[in-house]
Amino acid sequence: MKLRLAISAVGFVLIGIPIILLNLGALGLQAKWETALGGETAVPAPIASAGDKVLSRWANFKEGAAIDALFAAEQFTRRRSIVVSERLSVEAVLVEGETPPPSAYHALWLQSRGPEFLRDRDCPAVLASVGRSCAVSSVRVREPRNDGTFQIDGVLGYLPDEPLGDINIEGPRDLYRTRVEVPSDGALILRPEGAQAAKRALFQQIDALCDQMREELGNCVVAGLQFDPGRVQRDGLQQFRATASLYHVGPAGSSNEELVGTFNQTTAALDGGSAAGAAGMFAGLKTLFGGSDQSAAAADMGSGDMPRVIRGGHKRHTGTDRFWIKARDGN
Amino acid sequence: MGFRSVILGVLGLMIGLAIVLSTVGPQADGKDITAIDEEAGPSLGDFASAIGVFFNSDGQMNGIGGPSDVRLVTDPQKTRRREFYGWKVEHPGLTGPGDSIHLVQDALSGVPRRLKAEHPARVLASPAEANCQVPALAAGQKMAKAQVFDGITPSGYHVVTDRELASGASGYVADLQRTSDPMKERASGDTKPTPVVNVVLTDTSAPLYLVLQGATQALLWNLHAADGVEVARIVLVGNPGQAVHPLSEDTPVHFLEMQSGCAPQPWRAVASHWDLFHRAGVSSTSEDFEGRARDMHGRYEAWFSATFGTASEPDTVGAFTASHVLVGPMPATPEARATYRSLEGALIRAQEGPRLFVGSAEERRAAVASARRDLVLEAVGGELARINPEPMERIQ
Repeated sequence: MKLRLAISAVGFVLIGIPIILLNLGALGLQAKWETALGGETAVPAPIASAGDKVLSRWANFKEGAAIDALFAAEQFTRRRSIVVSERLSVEAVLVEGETPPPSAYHALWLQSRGPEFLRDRDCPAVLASVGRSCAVSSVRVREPRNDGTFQIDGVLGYLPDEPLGDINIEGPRDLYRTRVEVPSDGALILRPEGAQAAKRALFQQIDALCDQMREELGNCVVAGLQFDPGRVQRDGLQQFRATASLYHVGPAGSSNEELVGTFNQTTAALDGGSAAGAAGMFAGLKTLFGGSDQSAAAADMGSGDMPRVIRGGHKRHTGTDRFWIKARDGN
Repeated sequence: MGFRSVILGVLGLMIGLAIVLSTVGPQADGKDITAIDEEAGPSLGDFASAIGVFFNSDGQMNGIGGPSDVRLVTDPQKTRRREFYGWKVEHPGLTGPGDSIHLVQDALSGVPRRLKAEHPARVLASPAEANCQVPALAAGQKMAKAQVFDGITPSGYHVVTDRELASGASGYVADLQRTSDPMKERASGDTKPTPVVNVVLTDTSAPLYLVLQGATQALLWNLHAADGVEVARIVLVGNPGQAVHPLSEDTPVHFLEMQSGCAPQPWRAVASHWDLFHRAGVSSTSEDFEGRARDMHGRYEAWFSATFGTASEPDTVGAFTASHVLVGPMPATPEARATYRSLEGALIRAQEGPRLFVGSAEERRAAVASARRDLVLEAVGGELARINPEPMERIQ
């Protein structure tokens, strides 16, 4: 009798409770959608409330893991990523004088040598801006194009070069994201040889924005950093932009508008140092690598000219990608 | 413990079994599923046979008398079913002239009841015809044509193209980039053994000029002859690595390759039994499957006529997929049957080009893995560490 009771209890804990929680979560979702669509729901209020709590707890749990991954200063993490996407031919990864392999092997050569290539090409700009250490997390080589080139997608991670701020907030906390694009208006337009310098300058501007945000809000980290080189135009010039997500942890419940507002106020209230600095930097690049009038306009950013906020707000992380980049020997 | 508990227990057991079955085995990996169960252990069909339920080799349920166990098959019609572009004929079905269907044991003595991979010992590789020409049919010879789009039965012969090896190597590199653990190597993409098609030769009317045509991957054609059959020449049309186990090592063998443009893709004449004419919804789609099939056959027929001086149809034997084809009449008596020739320890003739492996599954896997690792080492310039380069540090 005791044994049967114990088995029933264990069965209830292992199977019954998860099923109850799952159902409550589903009912909570149903209530949320029905209320959003029609203003009322068929789900009884106490159950809807319990379901909402289950969903919220689960989301908080997942968000906590995402925050940990973003703000872990001593570990490489995929959450704190630099995203690289580019078309390459196999020649890009060959050493001087090396014979290209047969075409069937081009993707393999890019997959094998891609990490080193991306590290050597992209990490210097990261180390000159947000990071003190930079590593390649993954490389994916896509199907070849008709011209024999391959699109190669890489993810790099970095260890921040300074403390990211305090994320221990009293009471419930949320993770907020502000997606920004620099330059704010148009693009940095230079000759293609200026790509690396442009990348460095744009990354530095984003780093400066996050520094400002950290000063104002207590913490900030740059993630999803992406350098976007446009096509080379007929005049031989190329447009360069960079985008990034600036994350910060704050008290739960701030609205998206509040956050974007805070961001804009934060950057506007400061003396425009980063914008003015960037303007100087961009003008310098223009002198070195040429540029168009549009470039000059972009470079001529005044102190009130903010980076463009693409979107912002409370960021709930979903998805199942792994947060952590594997530790390498010596790290 | 009442009746309800027993029912619930059985139900739970069945659900558990279903979950376990869905999470083990090659299907659970979601990739790298070989089309053929090369190292066949007891199959679902074997268990099913024991409890009176019948499945085919794909685990699909058949009616009673389905081909899960050849001992149970007495009606050859039950060995074939419609595929989109022709018949699929499963062991022990034997497809012969005029799309006739028989049981292989009625034409071939000594054929195993249950087909397993047989392992050739040696491969004699030679190049495809450089000028895309083959000797003409000599006076007194008779042309015999067999075409199988794809095979079903595994062999212990393995063809790995550069592209397949590179694909497997890329998977290996990606794994290393994820895990840093060379022991985590997964076989990928390149471990599918070459299917074998048994050709039962019973035509003794003249020395045969055999034209064996495979359309998709390389096929290994295993020839079995009745007394009095003579093969004067063999021409293989298909993909690099295509191979034949000839009756004699001296028989001239020629290879015409699709990939280099020597031959278009072999294609049969459109026939009313194809499933494309029977499958619901096909006629209402915008795709002109029939027109495309006619074009493909027209192209192939024109090439075949120009190359061999005769049309491929209507006297080509074969099926869309098959394990056995019959070239010649059905033997009148059991004594007149052809004799089965195992591939075990045999010498086969193959078209050179891709990497060719023979041996047990383990030996071939090891050989392929070794080739893959060598290629990866070459790709990274001899230093495996380059796959996972050290982080770059800021120099103050």
